[in-house]
Amino acid sequence: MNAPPSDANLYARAGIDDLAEFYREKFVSNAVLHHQYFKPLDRFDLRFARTMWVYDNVPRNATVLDLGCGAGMLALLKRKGVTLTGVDLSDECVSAALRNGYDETVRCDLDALPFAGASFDYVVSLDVIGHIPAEQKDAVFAEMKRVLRPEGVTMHGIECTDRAARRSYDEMPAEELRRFIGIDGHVGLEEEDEHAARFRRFFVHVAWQPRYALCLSSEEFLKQADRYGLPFEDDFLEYLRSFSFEQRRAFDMAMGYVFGKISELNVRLPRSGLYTLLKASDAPLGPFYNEHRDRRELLELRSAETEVTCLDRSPHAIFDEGWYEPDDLPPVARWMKTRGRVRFQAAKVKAIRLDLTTHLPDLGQRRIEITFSLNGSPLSACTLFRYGWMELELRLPEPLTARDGDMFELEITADQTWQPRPHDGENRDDRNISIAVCNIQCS
Amino acid sequence: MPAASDNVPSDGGIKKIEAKLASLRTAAAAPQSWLKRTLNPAAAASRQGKFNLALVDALEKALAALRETIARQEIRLEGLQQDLTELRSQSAGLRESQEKELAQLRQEQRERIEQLDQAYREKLNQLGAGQSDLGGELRERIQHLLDEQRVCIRQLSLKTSEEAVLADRARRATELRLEELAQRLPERPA
Repeated sequence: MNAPPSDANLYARAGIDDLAEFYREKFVSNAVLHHQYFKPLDRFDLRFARTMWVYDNVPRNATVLDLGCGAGMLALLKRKGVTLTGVDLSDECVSAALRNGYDETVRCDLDALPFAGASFDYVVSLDVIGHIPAEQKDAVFAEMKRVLRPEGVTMHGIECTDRAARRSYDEMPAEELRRFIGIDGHVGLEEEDEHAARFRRFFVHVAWQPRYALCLSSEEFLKQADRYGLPFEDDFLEYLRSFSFEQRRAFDMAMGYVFGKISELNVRLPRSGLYTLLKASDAPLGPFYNEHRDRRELLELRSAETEVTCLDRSPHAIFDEGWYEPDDLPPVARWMKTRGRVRFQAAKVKAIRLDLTTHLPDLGQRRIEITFSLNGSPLSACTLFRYGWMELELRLPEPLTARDGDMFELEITADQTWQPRPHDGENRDDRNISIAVCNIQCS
Repeated sequence: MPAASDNVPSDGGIKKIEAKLASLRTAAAAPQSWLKRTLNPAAAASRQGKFNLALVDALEKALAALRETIARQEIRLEGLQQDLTELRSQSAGLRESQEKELAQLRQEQRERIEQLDQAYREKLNQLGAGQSDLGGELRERIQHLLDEQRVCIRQLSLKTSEEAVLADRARRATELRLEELAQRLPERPA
């Protein structure tokens, strides 16, 4: 523990007494990150950029430890047959990660990992090291090295600081310190090369590259400007603020696409004082990006899963843009806009069964009319006038048989939508949603 | 009310009459000798006349005193009667006002009781309705949870059956692979 004593107890100085509770409030979510719900197009989403960096650097069937797993941002690695273990400070986070497909999750401190030495091929963390106080980092790194196999690689996405532009913790007045740490809990921000130097004390080979110098999500641009005071152009920020949900998603996809291309072309970005990706090992390191790039499972249907009976998770079902990403309500379900289509493969369809619900306010007065069509032919219609889940079974007058390679298309329409929280600051949810649907089966 | 002095009889006047009567009795009782009556009959007659006059005078004074006393008593009686009338009148007024107040009090009390009774009944009705609403809401929430549970269980069941299918396929593929590997192994020498 060689950390400067001035950094000691930064959480306490920021008024954070219960660390697990602080992180639970900040980072626990009901995000559905299970690999079965991952769409190929999501690989371009900036939200998954760091996940894709890890995905493309980890070989099939490796054993991976995710330090500070949160809700399970690395769940996609299960597509590669990785054995995935997660640890976190929060009970809710380890439960969420387990729900999202991790093989094992454990609640523990990062400097006391409950695993035998040399247990993992990879030890990975995303957005964790910036939350570890400087005086604890060496202990965490020592544990990291202990559980890593001798030839293993450790990979990290690390939040950084720029000392030329931002005051150190010691220089911050008490109120500024409280406000700064209260935003995300960053008590261990260091510059990119400081992180690298620290890793070099534990590993022979260390490589790092600044990221997010150019590509930020629309939400992150606004957060960095509003909360951390980063100087972006005012009119650009105002433009971002005016975005709808769909526009934000389109922006983030474009940013994610550029982020991916920077990696593919191995373009080295300048230091940004924001974020760095880092790899370290006692064995010689391979390429920084795409060392084990193999996206077959991401883009192609796996033969083993071709007969998944529920369309929600079937690789043979395509949910069009009329649906939002799945949410854990619970159960895991997709919210629909006014019209949603599901295209799926099946030899024959006799009936379609599904569960649906709505949270539309004033449902008693504003009943929702729902219609169902299959391959363009009206199938059924119903009216929702009470809350709760409704089970529907739509029987076809005569079974429909698919012609060669043809897909069936189930279309659902709703005559009303609403926005859950259109003006709720950071918790804004301005999606136009109508009904939520899950457990879609055809027989 | 009559003055306090009116209650006191005219003692001075009565005492004077008593004194006069005492002196007349004394004079009448005093025996007159035969000689005096014989020698001076005019003086005797005069003495008798004075006595009679004094008697009449005493009687008149007594009568006047009596009249005065009676007049006073009548005035006093009249005053008392007036007082009594006044008292009766006051008493009647008081009783009337008290009866009015009492009646008003009774009315107010009755109204208050009715109001309380009504409020109590309304409260009871509200409570009953609230309890009914609460019960309804609770039933609705339970139903909602049951629905949610049903859908979650269905989702889990579907996932489990999918996992089972995949696990079975993986097992069969592994077994097949093992068989293939076993066939490739050279036979053990006998």
